[in-house]
Amino acid sequence: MMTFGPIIETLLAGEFICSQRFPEYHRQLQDETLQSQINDYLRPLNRTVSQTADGSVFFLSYQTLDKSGREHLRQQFIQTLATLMPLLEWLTLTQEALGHDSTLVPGDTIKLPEWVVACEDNPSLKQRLANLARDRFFNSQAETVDAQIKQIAKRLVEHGYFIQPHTDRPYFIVTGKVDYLMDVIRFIRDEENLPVEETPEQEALL
Amino acid sequence: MTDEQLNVSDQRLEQGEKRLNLIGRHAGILMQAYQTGELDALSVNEGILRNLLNARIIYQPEHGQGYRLRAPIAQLIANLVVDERRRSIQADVADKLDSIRNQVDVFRKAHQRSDMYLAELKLHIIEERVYDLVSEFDEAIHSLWNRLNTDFGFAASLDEKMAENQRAQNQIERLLDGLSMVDYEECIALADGHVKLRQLLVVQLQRRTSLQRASMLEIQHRMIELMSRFREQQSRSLLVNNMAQFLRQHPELKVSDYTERSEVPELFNQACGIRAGAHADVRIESTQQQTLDVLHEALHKTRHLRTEQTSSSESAKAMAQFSDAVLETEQRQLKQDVDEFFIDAAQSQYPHSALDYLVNNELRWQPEIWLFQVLSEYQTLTKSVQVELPLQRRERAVSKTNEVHIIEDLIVQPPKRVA
Repeated sequence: MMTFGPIIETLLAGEFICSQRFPEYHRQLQDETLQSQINDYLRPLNRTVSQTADGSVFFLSYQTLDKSGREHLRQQFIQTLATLMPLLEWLTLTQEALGHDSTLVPGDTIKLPEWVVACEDNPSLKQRLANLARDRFFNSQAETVDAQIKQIAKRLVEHGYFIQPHTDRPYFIVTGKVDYLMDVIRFIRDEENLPVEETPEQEALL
Repeated sequence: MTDEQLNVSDQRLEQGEKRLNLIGRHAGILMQAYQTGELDALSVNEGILRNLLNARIIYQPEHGQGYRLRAPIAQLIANLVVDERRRSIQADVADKLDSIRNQVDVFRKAHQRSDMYLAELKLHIIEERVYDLVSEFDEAIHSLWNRLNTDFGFAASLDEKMAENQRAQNQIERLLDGLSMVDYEECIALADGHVKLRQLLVVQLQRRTSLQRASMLEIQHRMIELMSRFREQQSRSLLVNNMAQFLRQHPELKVSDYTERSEVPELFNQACGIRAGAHADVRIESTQQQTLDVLHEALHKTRHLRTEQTSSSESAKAMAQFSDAVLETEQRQLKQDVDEFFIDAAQSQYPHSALDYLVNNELRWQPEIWLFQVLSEYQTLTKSVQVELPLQRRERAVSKTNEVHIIEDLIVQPPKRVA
């Protein structure tokens, strides 16, 4: 009997396993022996378990790359690049709107009504929200703050950045996928040598 | 006590009361001085100023300059209003230890001369000094725990939290220095031969400061951890905001294609999703494999159906009855467990009893809830899958006179093997 059948099914479906969306699976995957067993099982499928730098998210990678695999990765990469700006804008917008000390981290709760009120009350935030909602990634045609935010939240759930614990309650939890996003940003920043700083001292030097 | 000593004591009482009253009478301007840092000299007349000066409540740092609260008064207020920001325990340990040494000396000499009154008095004083010292550290530790436990919640911004954390760390260093001045050997030597002194200097002073030191080290460790968390938060925020700004300013930015590399970075090597069952597993017979495939697909495709009310009236009624008993957050786990049961059944050679599965896997669901979930999920599967995995109900009538049947168990038959 496959004791880790459901984990494999979830991984194979292309899901990111973080502790917000799949707490039990995430916990189980901390065990390296299990990871090793899963990798053995997946070898015929040319897949292996990967994780972000701090182990907050697990996903499957190709073991060896053939032409179609590379093509898939390439398309995915182009998509990832296209989503960077809207996702970063979402993060900065919510931080400002909700008056948070710092940017969203996995496990943070976002209450939609709070977000709506903040944007409705502030013309600059309202404008930024409207622009963000219209971005291809969120694809909203809505005119009201409420509808725009609902659409943004919906897309974020679809892409795995949010979970909505109760479909009848308007609050969302940020998933570990934002950690993955941070890793992507850092990687690009480092590879391309972009003057994007992470510490106040470095900032002062610029 | 002698008359002389009683007089002195009375005088002190009187003076203390007078001065407390003075503070009370001018509480308004003193609080204002606490808030702003300086006394509003325009709001008091000369006479009051002189009284406050003489009573050692305010002082004038430099001639011609304003008047400020003396440190002990500011500290009193800070303690009274639980002002974490302003609390700074002045542990002048060396001074206090010196004073204790002196008092011990006088005590011993008095004892030698059999001057019991003086000895007793000195013992009281030593007790006070030891208590002072120990409780000052206790207060500091209490205040520091408070700051830790609220993650410096009183600070308005992350920057401020980090500044306060640093301040707290500096304070801890000073306090640890102070604590290290209490010498174990010296305490034992000083107390030598006197039970009461031993009680005060070894049990009270030495042991308690020793525990306080351990506490302080723990706090220090956590402060450093907390600071590192703050730094992470700060760095993450800066990264996000600065990257967003950069991309806004440079929309034409071209990034090289990392997927072209011979070694694609893990981050960008995310394999696409495939159907779970589509792999060769030599342990499973081929017809079963087919059923397994279809079952996986069916479960996957119909997952969304199982998040809503099922259409079947029978199980809907039952679910309504039991849905309150199962929290939404648990429902996901329940559904997962049922999925696993079906997969298990599809892979096996023998009929699978839902109840047996529940028991053997030590799942925590109530049997009724489990059975109805299995039934409702089964009904969301397509007909073709149901044909491959026939479900039988084991039922019994409620009683001889009541025709209503209760489901006792559900049996799933595995896919038929090709002969």
